[in-house]
Amino acid sequence: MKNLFPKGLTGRFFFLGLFLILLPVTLVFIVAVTVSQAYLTERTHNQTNQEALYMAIQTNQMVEDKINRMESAVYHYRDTGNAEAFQALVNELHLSDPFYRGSNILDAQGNVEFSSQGTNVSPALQTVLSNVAEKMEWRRSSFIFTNSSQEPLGLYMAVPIQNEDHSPIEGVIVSKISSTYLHNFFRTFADEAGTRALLADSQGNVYMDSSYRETGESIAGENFYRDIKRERTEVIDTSWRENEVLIAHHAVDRHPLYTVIITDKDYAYASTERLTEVLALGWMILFTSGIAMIIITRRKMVVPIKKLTKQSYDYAEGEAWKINLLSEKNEIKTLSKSMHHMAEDLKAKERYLKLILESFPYGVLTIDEEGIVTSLNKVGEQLIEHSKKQFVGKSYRRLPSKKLVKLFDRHLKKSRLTETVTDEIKYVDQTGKTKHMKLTISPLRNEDNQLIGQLVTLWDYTTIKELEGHLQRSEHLAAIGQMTAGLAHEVKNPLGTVQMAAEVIHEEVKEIFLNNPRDTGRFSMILEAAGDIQDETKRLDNLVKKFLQVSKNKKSEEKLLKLKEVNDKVLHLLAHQFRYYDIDLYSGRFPEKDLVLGDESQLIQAFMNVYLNAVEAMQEQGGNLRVAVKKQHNDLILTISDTGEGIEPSKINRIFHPFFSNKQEGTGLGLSITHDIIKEHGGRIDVESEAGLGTTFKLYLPEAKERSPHNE
Amino acid sequence: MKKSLMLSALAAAVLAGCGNNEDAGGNGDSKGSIEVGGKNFTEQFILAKITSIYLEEQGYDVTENTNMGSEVLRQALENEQVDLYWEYTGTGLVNYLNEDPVASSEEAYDLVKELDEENGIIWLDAAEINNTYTLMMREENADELGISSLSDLADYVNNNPGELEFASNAEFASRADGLAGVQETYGFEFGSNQVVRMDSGLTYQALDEEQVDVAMGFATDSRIKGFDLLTLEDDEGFFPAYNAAPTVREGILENNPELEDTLQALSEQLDTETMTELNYQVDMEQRSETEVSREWLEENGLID
Repeated sequence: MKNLFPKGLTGRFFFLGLFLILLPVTLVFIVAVTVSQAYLTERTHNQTNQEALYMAIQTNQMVEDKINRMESAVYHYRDTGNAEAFQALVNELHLSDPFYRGSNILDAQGNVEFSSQGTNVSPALQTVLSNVAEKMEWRRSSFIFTNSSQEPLGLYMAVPIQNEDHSPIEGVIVSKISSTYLHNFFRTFADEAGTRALLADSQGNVYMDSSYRETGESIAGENFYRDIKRERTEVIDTSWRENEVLIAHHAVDRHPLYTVIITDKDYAYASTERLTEVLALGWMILFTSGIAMIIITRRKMVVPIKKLTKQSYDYAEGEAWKINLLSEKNEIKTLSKSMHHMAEDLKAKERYLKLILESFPYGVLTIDEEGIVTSLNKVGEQLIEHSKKQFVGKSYRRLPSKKLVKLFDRHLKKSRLTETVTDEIKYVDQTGKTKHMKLTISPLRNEDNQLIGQLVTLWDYTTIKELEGHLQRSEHLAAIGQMTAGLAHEVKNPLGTVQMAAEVIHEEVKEIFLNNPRDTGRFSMILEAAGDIQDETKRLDNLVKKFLQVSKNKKSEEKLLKLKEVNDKVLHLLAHQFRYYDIDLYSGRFPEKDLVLGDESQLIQAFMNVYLNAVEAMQEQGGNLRVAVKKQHNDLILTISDTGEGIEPSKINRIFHPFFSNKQEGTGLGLSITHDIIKEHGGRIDVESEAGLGTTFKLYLPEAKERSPHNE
Repeated sequence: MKKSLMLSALAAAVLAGCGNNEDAGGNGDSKGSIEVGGKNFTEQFILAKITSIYLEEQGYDVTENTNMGSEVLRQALENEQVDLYWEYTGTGLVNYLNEDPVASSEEAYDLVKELDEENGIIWLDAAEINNTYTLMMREENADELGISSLSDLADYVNNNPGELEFASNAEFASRADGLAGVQETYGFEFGSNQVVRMDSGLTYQALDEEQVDVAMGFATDSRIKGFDLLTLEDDEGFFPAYNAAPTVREGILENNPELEDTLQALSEQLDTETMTELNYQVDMEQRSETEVSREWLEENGLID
């Protein structure tokens, strides 16, 4: 059953058509036919019934009229008593009216006194006449007599001849009723084809059949006769003489006669049939046009939609790259148009994405979950040195590079699928050059974050690799330069101290010598020696400056140091200079736990560089130097602030670079070394400076735990 | 067990009985033929037709012999030419048995039934059709004058002598048990100028056309209904009873004992009002007697 009906849109369409057009039309047709048939049938029945009734009334009136005529002759006879005149009158009535078919005047015993047929009365007629006279003897009023028992069949009218009504009879007028007259009289009831009018008596003898077929026959044996006899008024729907007929009948009042109207059903129901035909035709037209409409609409709507559906399906499946415009001139065209544009647009976007991928300066290779290569862009092709046609749609194991395959093998194990891995491969390309290729393998996920494969990015690393080599070499040279500068700086500082000390000695001794001129000889020796020291240190200083040696900062030994102690040592070394340059030192509080792990001499050197920097910044006008340590998270922060000339913002970014100096004499290595040392100890340096107001250095050093093993 | 067996037997008997009846009903002429008679006026045609159709449906083969004179019909019944017809108790008593008329319906029936039995004529149960003499007025006129019974009429005539005119046929006006008897019984008198004589069929029309104010008539006449006439109540019970009852020869009843019950069903349903209505339909509405009869039988559930 299911397969009988088309499925999907067409199916729905057919169902809709069926329910909206065909079923209602059929329903209306059935109802109309049923109702109209019932109505017309009822009307036909009523009409037939009315005909039978009307015929009965007509019969009654006809008979009464004929009886009255004969009775009037009797009345005349009563008045005159003239028997001859009476006979003449009866004869005249008889001759003037074709209703009468032989009239007789009988005496009370039934003897014929007068007969319109002359004296020759047949024995059969004589019998009938005798019977009528016998009946009239006790009835004494007019009646219709049917001789059912004797041949020939005849319908007779009997009128009593008596002196007054209901008195004993003198005789009877008996007239046979003309069958021809009856046929002619009732012709009007059967003037239409298919209808017959019958006049029968209570014994079922038919005296008149408008079609003559039953005239003289009997219908007493017919199944409808009993209904007629019982004067039932319903129309009988039956089959008679091999015809389907409707039979209506009616008793004639006051006389033993029955009217019967027989109508062929074909004829009776002709109007019903005709109506049914018309309705059926209408139904067929509506039905056919309904079907046609469904088919046309299907062609106009469902077929294009199906076409569109197929196109979109192909498009979705990737079998088609465009959606063709349909030739329809309605909404479907609009739909087709917008789908066409959508597809074009989508295509353009996809193309754009593809172009992006293809133009990507890295090789991109995708592998699906099964390990099948799904795409490879142009750069990828170049890197792999094979056309993608050889791999796409095939297992990655077909890739020409065995190293690559091995790498994938390793990576595409389930446990590692979600990791992002970067690796490097060294290989020799087709021209024989050694090449380095770097690649990352990362999971490829869909919008639901489900793993749908692996995305491999490849790039030629050869050039970068070469650059890295150069950089390493230049870094090495830079380090040598830095070390040399560092050493020079280290020597220069103590030399400066010596030089200053010698100068102090020289000046003090000179003063003492001037106040004590007597001891000239001793003092001049001291002065000379001090002068020598000065000279020599100056020379040494120059020498150092000239022979910068390469050295490298390296933490020689690390141990737990109290930051305050280290700082104090530096301050102690510099106390002389502070005093000399009129610098006031303000030392803030140090936290109790201020351990750092590091090389003491290196940290001293690092701190000293910062302090020296501050001293230099303040040596013109003196100033304040503030030192403080505080804890922040895991760091200890040593803050050194001066009120010196400050550093210009443009230079502040470069102060840690080697060889950068703000001073004429500086090597430019001091802060650079400090920076390196602090970095070596896992710390960092922040500088804030404002020209003219001063500079603040913040040295961050990781706080060491007291018991932590310091050699690890 | 015994009891249920007996019940079953009883039920079977009843069923068998029903079956027989049905057979009889369905089998055309199993109950024999009956000659039904009828007099020569509408009511009689209708009663004959009703009886005829009813008996036919009950399975009798009926022949109608109508349009007969009253006494001719009685004679035909006695002479076995007719088996059955509807006769009026008053007619039976006065015309055939030479008795004085009786006003009470029951008494008249009992008497005629008793007396006629000697003649071999059985009076079956009478219907409440009392086709006796009646005095009539136009309904609105009667309302206006406040008259609804013969006593009211007497009062009015006594209070307003010479005002009301009365239509009568010659027989009623002259008979001792006619107008004279009414006047004597109710104690009033129409002046001789107030009594207009005419043929018996014309009084209704004369009353309707206001030629007279009161008229005599017969209680079941269709024109009473047709002209909206009021029959004045015979509150003193003066008029003789003319109840219609089927009369049947003893021999017929012996052969068809169920005929009594069968015809009782008809008598029970017929009364003066019904008869007037049926007469009206035939006389005034010119409907077929057969149709009217059959319709009445069907309406009263006597036939299907």
